[in-house]
Amino acid sequence: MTRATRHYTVAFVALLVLSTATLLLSFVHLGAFSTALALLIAAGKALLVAIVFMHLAEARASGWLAMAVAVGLVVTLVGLAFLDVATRSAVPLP
Amino acid sequence: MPGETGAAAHLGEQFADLGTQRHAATFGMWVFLASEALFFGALFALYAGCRTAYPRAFRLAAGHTDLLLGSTMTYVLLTASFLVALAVGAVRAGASRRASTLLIAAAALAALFLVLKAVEWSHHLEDAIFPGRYEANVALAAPGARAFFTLYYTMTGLHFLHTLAGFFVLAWLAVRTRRGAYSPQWHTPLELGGMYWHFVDIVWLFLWPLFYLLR
Repeated sequence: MTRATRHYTVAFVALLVLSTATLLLSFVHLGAFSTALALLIAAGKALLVAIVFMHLAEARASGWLAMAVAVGLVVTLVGLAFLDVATRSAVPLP
Repeated sequence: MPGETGAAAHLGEQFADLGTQRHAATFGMWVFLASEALFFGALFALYAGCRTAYPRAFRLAAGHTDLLLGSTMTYVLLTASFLVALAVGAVRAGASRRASTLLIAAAALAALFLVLKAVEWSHHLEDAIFPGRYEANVALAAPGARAFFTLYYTMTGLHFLHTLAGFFVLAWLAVRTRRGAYSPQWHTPLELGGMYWHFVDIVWLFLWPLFYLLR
């Protein structure tokens, strides 16, 4: 087994373990934290796919920059959409 | 070496060498995938807003998606991604035939995903679950539940189209690899096609907990 194949295999096993963990955790009632935890694990898996399978580990700074900007913008967009709705309150009529 | 001569034939005149050309192509792919992430990101933002507004209706509606099928699709896509990564590794090591076989297996898994998704949609349609104002399932008449399934059809539908494109990309790459089009010195299309496929996988990694694991 070459070095690269070993890396891919380790990443794949980690992805399977994390997916199974996510699946099992969905049966545990963690309340508001359940989705946050599931998304955190998903983000970890996504990072693993990007670094190992998509060879981000070999990429120059420009590759990292493009990905970081996309992640930053998506997190801002989704985060602000959530905060907008979560902090709305009924405005009393004058 | 024939590989190097073949590789040199792919060098564009605006590039000093193959390394620079590969870097430009890879960077272009990262930028494309970043724009794709924003494309999906807008829908994820809509999901976040709707779910925050209707938390209970979303949980109720999520009970109508198929956990077993959804989870199976997750493992299918992860395995396909692994096979594509192995295929790229095989071409880098000069084993084109093995790479082609791996790509065919990955394309078969992509097709399996598409079939499973279509089966799940057909189950929804049998249950009278339709998007938007066409919703006919009485258990899902509340506005929040309608929003859930409208987002479900839109986001999984968009992902389905990406997977379909990915299937054709993988099949094309398998044929090209089998014909010996790629060498350890030059296999940029395979690297870029692989990146696209992994992106499709990543999007599903987020769709899965949001639509199937909510309870």
